[in-house]
This record gives sequence, C-alpha cells and structure tokens, in this order.
Amino acid sequence: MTGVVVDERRPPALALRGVSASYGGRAVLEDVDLDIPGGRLSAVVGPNGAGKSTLVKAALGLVPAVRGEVRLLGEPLRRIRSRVAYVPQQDTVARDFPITAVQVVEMGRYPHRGWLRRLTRHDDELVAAAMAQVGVEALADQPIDELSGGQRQRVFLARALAQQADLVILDEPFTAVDARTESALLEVLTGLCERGRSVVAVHHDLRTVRDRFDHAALLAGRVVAAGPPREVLTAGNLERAYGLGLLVERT
Amino acid sequence: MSTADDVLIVVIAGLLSTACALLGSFLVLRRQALLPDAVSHAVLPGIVLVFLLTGQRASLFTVLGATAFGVLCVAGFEWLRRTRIVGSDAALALVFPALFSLGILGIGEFASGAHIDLDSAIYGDITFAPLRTMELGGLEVPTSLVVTGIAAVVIGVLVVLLWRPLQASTFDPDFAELGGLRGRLAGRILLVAVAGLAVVAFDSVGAILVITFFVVPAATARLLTGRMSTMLVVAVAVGWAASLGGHQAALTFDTSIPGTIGLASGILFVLALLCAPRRGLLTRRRRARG
Repeated sequence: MTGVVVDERRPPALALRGVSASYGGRAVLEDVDLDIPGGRLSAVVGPNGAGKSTLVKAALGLVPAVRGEVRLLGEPLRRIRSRVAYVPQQDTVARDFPITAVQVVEMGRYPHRGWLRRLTRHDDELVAAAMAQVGVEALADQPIDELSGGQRQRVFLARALAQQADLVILDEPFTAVDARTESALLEVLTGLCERGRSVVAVHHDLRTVRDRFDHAALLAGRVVAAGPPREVLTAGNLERAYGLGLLVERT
Repeated sequence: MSTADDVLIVVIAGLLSTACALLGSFLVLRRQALLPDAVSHAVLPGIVLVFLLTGQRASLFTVLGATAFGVLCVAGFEWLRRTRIVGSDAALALVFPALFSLGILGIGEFASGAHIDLDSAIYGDITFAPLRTMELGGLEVPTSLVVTGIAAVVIGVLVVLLWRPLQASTFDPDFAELGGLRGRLAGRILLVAVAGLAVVAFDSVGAILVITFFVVPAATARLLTGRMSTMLVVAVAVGWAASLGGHQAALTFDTSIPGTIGLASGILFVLALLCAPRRGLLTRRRRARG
C-alpha cells in the first residue's frame, strides 16, 4: 500500500451506475454499481468470465451495447479522452505490426496531437523520459516483435506515461511478464498514484493485490465486494465470487 | 524493342501497384487481404442492375454501380465482424458469395439475353490499356493512365492524412479508439477506398493483377522491413519492379502481360521469403546453425 493521504473530495477514478454489458452476444455484467477511488492503485479481480475486462472496456466505451452510466474522474468519457491512458491485453495488439519501441511510445502523444499536428520537441522529451522511467531507452529502435513479453509490457506502460494521463487503466498487465518486471512496473504505477494520478488494473494474482494495491473490486458478473484489499479478499467473499463464477461459466 | 505502348503499360501497372500497395499494406496487417478478391465478386449485382436500368454494360454507370455494391460488401463485412459473433474471415466469406449469387440470379432471371460476362462488363486487360483513350486538354490519353494516375495520387494523399489513425488502429485498435483518433472511422474509409480502387482498377487492368498488387508487394515488404513507413516504400518498389520485370518477360516469351507481372510478383515474394535479412527462411536457418 502506498500510504498516501487520499483527498476524499477527489472524484472517483471510475464510477459505474447500473452498467450492463455483453460480450460476443453473452451478458457478462448485470446492473453494476461501483466506485473506484481516484489517486490510488486499484485492482479489479475475479474469476475467469467474471467480467473484469468487460467492465473496464465498457467504462472506456470499447464494448458496445452498454446500459447504464459511467464517469471517469467525474466526467463523461468524451470530455476526457486524452486524459485516460489504456494498456490493453497483449493479445489484442497486432504482434506482427512493423513498429519500433520508440514509435509505440510516441503513440502516447497522438491523443494530444490528433491526426495531423506534428510532434513537438516537448513531445519527444516526454517520450524519452517515459522510456527511461521504465528502463527501455536502449530498446528504442528495436522492432516490437523482437522484444520479450516483459520488455513489450514496459514499452506499453511507457506509452501510457508519455501520454501524461490522469487515469491509467491496464488490462492484465502482468501476464507473460517476469517477476522482476512485474515488481518494477508496480513501483512505477505506485509512483503515479503518489503524484495524484489514478491507476486501475485488471489483475488475477490475489497475493500482489493484497500486498501492493490500495483498493480492490471483486467481480463475478456483479460486484461481490469493493474496498481495501484485506477487507475484500476474505475467504467468504472469495468463495462467493469464485463459486458464483463457476455457475456463471456453466450457464 | 520496347515501344511507347510498352512504356505506357509499365507506367500504368506501376501507378496501379503504387495505389494498391499503399492500401494493401494495411489490409495485410489487418488480416483483410482477401477483401479485394471478395469485392471482385460482390460487384456483379451492381453491374447487372445498371444493365437492367440503362442497357449499358461498360459505362461510367457500370463502374458506379459496381462500386456501390463493392462498398455494400465491405459495409456488410464490417457490420458482421463488429458483432463478434462470427470471425473476421467468416464475415467476409458470408457476405460476398451472397452478393455474387444475387448477381448470377439477376443475370438468369432478367438479363440472360444480354451476354453479360464478367470479362466484357468490367474486367479489362492491361494489354489493351493503351488502346482505350480519352481526351484530356486536347490530347489523346489512355483512359487507364489517367485513372491509375489519379488513383495513385488520391490514395497517396489519403494514406498521409490517415497515417496516425490507420497505423494506431491497425496496431492497437482499442488504444486508437479510446485516444480519440477515430480509428474505426479511418478503418471504414480504408475499406471504402479499397472497394473503390478495386473496381476502378478491375476496369483498367483486370481482376487478377489488382488482387496481386493489393497483397503480394505488401507481404513481400513486410518480410524486408521493421517499420511501417519503410514497408510502404518497399511495397511500392516491389510493385514497380514486378511491373517492369513481368512486362519484359511477357515481351521475351510473347505471352500474357498480367500473367507474367503476377508471376514476377510471386517470384519476388519467394525470394524475400527465402533471403530476407532477418525473417527469411534461409537466413534463419543459417543463423540457427551458426
């Protein structure tokens, strides 16, 4: 835990009211109400098929057919697009796309520059600083498909840092990542929260959530519990979530 | 031994390959390489419809009608794909046979006496491209030269304007959408441009060359480069090399020009597949041994 003093007047990083969403024709989330606090390192956890990824994608407008209302940092999505950075699951990224590490990080500046405006020297500096912060400056000109899973994930986090976003949302950022990288990335994310930014990560390793995150939301098609990880990840809640998860899987 | 007509044919093929390679590079990376092939079938009901309405088989209206159904095909494909209920490849394979069948039925029901065969209606042949001319500023200019020239310029400008959204949405569609880059919009513009270019190009040079130019130079270039911008340049260069080499081969062996250009593209691809500096099969094997 970061032990930061949280300003309770700060708007929640994510606020969902009555959100339902389906994925591939299957209802995954039903009528979800959830507040994830701002300025903290928060995890969304739950069994496979619990709707973790769908929840963040629905919040980000990436999954169609959403009912309900979503606010990010107190605002509707359309008003703060450039202030939200997203690190997607690795399998949604085209692996064989010809692009170098530095070009991926430069993409973090696109939301501020749009289709046509040139990147400025300031943009270049932010890109270089972001790459240095996650330790990939030496890989700048490497094609992305020649990097290891851990190196690639560092590059994607660098893109989010270069974007200078106030809210960073990550979907399973630590799959196919070595333990050392996971720890290093968590440190960077904690640092972001200490500077007042909000971080929400879909995650499945309950131990890291307990040890390193400030807040957890436990899902199973609905919110089973949300709050400080030690209060949320109790044996009773986990039983409810993971037991229920199996039922949801079967139907 | 080469005449003005020979130079013209190479230039027309080169211009067309330029336009096709620019769009085709994105198609190949988006796993939509079969799209131009699908469009080539889906345009048939457009051709039949224009014939029924106007009695014309090869006019500007034919091209417009065909383009409309080409766009309908990509729109249907895009909609089916977005539902995520069927896969991307199945979505395409579901749409174009339906449209092609509609065209076949249309011919059988209403136009059987018209002898609409695809070759005469819209699928031209680059061999005869220098012979079909139009007036431009008082000069007799081959229609295909004008069409492919305009196509190359328009597509070039389009790719420059859409560079960021196309690149970002091909690489990481969710990021492109979320970051306000309108990746989906750029993707749709790409599909419509592909449909339009395909139809116009079928009319000028024939379907096989068009499908070749959309896919083969792009796939070859991907083997040779690690950056998108370089890939586009290399793809265009491969297209021109295949046009020149294929045309020379056709003259030497006195055979079909589209056939030899298509074959030359294939040979360039195989060479890259074997010998590309990082990805080539032989290169990898040598590296594994050394």
